Amino acid sequence: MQNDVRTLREAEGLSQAALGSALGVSRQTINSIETGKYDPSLPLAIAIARHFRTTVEEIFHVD
Amino acid sequence: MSTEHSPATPTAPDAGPDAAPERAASPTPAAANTLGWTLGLLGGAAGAIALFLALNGRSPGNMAGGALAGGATVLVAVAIGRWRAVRRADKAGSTARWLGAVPDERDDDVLTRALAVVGYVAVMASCLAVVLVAATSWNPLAIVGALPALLLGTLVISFAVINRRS
Repeated sequence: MQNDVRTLREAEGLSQAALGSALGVSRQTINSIETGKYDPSLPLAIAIARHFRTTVEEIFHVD
Repeated sequence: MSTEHSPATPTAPDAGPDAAPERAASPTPAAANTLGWTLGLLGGAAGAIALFLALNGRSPGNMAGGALAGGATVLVAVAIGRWRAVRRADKAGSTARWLGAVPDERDDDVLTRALAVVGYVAVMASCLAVVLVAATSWNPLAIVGALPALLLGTLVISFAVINRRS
């Protein structure tokens, strides 16, 4: 599933580790999400959307 | 899912109506399960010693010593994993986080998928072991004894491959 997590993260000047720490997951998980290798769970997707003050649909796009 | 905030949940000043509520500082996952992890480690040590005592003098060769050494190796690996997951969290990988009992959801997913592979292999290997014991003159203890090693090796390899690919 494609997503805009990297774009949003870089726009806020956050590192992958910093975003992971804010969301309670590892840097590795953030990297896997950004590269499309791992799709987050629903709670994590919602937490990501809330962190960036947007909606899940705005961030994650079905291929 | 309700989006209304609890009246008792504070929000940052000037944050706007859609801002996420501030949350009180909560313990890290490692701090929250330190007692459980410590008890697990002590239980593992007790189990290794109990296994040694059970096998000592009753098993062929130095099986008792080997079991104790293997158990001690696992416990040391667990302790190192915990240290890396807590002190070097930014550098810790999935294996260290699992050994340190602080996995995140992706680590959980990787392990679940790896264990599924182990399950497939276990079913096939146990069927093959039965055939080998029944149809050959090979030492049954050696055949059965190879199963844990086979399954552990399968777990390690499948975990590494799935972790790399996801």
